[in-house]
Amino acid sequence: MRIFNIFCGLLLLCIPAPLLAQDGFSVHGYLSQAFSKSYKHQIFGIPQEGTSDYRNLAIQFRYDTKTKNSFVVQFSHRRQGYSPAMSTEQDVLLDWAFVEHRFNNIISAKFGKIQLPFGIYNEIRDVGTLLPFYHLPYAPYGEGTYTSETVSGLTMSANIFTPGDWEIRADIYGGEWDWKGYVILKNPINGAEITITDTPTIKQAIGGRLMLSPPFAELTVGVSGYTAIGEGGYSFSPEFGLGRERLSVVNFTVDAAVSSASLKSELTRYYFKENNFSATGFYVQTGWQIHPLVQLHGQYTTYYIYDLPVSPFSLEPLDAHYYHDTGLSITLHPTTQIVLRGEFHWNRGFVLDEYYDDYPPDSPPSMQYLIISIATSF
Amino acid sequence: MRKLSSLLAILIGIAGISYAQSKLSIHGYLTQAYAITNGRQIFGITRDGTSDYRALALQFRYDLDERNNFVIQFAHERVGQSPVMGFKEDVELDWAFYEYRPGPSTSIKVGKIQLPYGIYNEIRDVGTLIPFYRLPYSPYGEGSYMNETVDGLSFSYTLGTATAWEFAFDAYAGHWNWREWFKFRDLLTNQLVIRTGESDIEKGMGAQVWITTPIEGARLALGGQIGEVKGGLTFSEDGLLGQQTIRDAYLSLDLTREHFFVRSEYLGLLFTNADLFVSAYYVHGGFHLNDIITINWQADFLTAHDVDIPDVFIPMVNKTQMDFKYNKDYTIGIKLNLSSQLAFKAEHHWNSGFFVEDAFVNPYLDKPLKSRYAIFSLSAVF
Repeated sequence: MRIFNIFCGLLLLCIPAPLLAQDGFSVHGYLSQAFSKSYKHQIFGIPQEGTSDYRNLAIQFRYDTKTKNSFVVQFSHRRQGYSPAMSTEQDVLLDWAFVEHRFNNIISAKFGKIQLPFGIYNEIRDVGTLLPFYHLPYAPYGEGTYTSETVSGLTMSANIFTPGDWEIRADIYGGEWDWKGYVILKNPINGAEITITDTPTIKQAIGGRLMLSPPFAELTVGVSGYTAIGEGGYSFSPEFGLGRERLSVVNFTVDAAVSSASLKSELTRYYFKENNFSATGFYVQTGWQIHPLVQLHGQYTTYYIYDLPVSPFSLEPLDAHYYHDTGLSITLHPTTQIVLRGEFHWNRGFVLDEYYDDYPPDSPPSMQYLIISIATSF
Repeated sequence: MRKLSSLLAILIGIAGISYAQSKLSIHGYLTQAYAITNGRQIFGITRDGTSDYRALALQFRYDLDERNNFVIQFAHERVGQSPVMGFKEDVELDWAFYEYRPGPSTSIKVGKIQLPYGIYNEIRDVGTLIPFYRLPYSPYGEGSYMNETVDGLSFSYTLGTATAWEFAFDAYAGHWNWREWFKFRDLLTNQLVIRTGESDIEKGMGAQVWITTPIEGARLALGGQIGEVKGGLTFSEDGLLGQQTIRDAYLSLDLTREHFFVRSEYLGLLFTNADLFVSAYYVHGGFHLNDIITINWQADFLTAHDVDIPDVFIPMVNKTQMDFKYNKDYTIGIKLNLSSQLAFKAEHHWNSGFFVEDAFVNPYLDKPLKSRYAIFSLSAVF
């Protein structure tokens, strides 16, 4: 099969230009390649030896018909170093595949595997040239958990300009998605670490987002949220996890810019009804354009769980300061399509790629990590 | 999947080239569905319902000139909680072949080719053209019995004109796969266990002839295949049947008129070493109320005939052979052609058989389980 594939590739390369496809068709691509290194503990697949097996690629094919329909397919490829998630992640994944129908200039609908309308960044996760850091803030965006990039189902959207030039964007959706995570346990017999892939299904989800932008400032405020059933995997299994859960999430966003400074912040509340516990995620991100080609960013992210019922060796629910991260980055824009970025993070929490049972919930392990990346788009 | 990454990387490189007369055409087919059953899980559909039910194909076709073209099609499919999801990669190579047309009536394809079978095998992915979300299980299966593609070579020749008798002949040879899954009861834990496997059909050959008659909209096809099937759960050395030689023959009938259509296909499949005969057939039709609304119906049957009963069960059933009615499915549905590129379908199925996925059924002792399920889908093409 390899020889056949090389043949296919050479045949395509030998095809004389020009050969673009039919009218209405466009292709876009986004690539971020990074080198990363951690200190004290491995986190997000970043080992202490460092790795350049750290990459995010997306290629999007879009076809706009003459009849108010668009057909969009996006494939993605991701490498995340030594993350346990890589053991089950396929080389090429379908990111999105949907059809959008625009009823008029205000209302549209999409069906398929659709970008999930949530918060500020969810729909531009792959566009490295637009992001201040390599990863999105862990709360609320997670790494395959908490906030999915997509929903399999249907969305309806409205984009309205009021007579006073206020912009209102509203989305509602229904469908389901999977979380992709992992749990690291210790074999009680030999002490070896065991990694279990965790892929619960989040289903019967109904959600929405409302974003409001006034005409007098570069400001957007919004609220997003959904309610859904979490089931299966390890986290929601009846034997080892929470069991079938009713999950409700609400998120508040602020996105502001003044002159050369910017501020983004999101507060997210999670409520798990059957087990009666909750969590709060919060980040604040500031940016400063110190030069037409140079930006500085700072970010603080925190995630706190209240009354967590799943705790070995403990009979009482517990509170856990699960994660907090402070990051600084410097971004160079030598061209509009290329971004060079260096960032450093101080992290404290339980989101690490190792088994932990030596740390009490109010004193999680600390670590640092560095990411140097190049991002491009076309 | 590295091969897929390579092909996609090449396509990225192509994308930046400047505009001119286009030889590359790109087509897409997407169907997104919501499905729900009244109880038993079947075809990945659960009692809670699921929208993790989708079929997507993206085709790149490059016409070098009027005689030579190159086609690649990628596919993505989600089938809810079905055991077949264990086989599926998120993005798969559907077809990849080179076609040479020495003349207007002749075509030679080499690569991973659409397997020329029956009415629908080559248009499985085009949701706007098929009457229901999926093709009839009998005989199209879900990766079994009639595979979508063959890795090899095909030859096609058309004789006659469109206004009189026309004969379209296809012959092909190569390799294809069957996918299978079975449920077992773990004797220690009493838990339901699902095992999956993939068999290989080697030295596979087949041929079919489509005959278009002078009767308006009427055509029929006759065809057959032979091959050696081995591996997987059923056809491995210590499997249920072991390696088998397969021979099958089929008949397809198609009457399509302005206001209605009726189609039927019958496949008879013989596993010669085990002397096991399986019949798979369906009949379906539709009535176009107007340009937008079509009412569709279907009956679909899969039966294994004269199956030898193991000695341990003979005293319980008082016979040495029996027929397994693996699948019997009756469907009624409505299709709305919202535009030439968009269709909505709603369908309801009454099913009886052994394909439920959340209960163990002993086909020698138990009756087929009944279930009902509904699928609502939107299909788009460009």
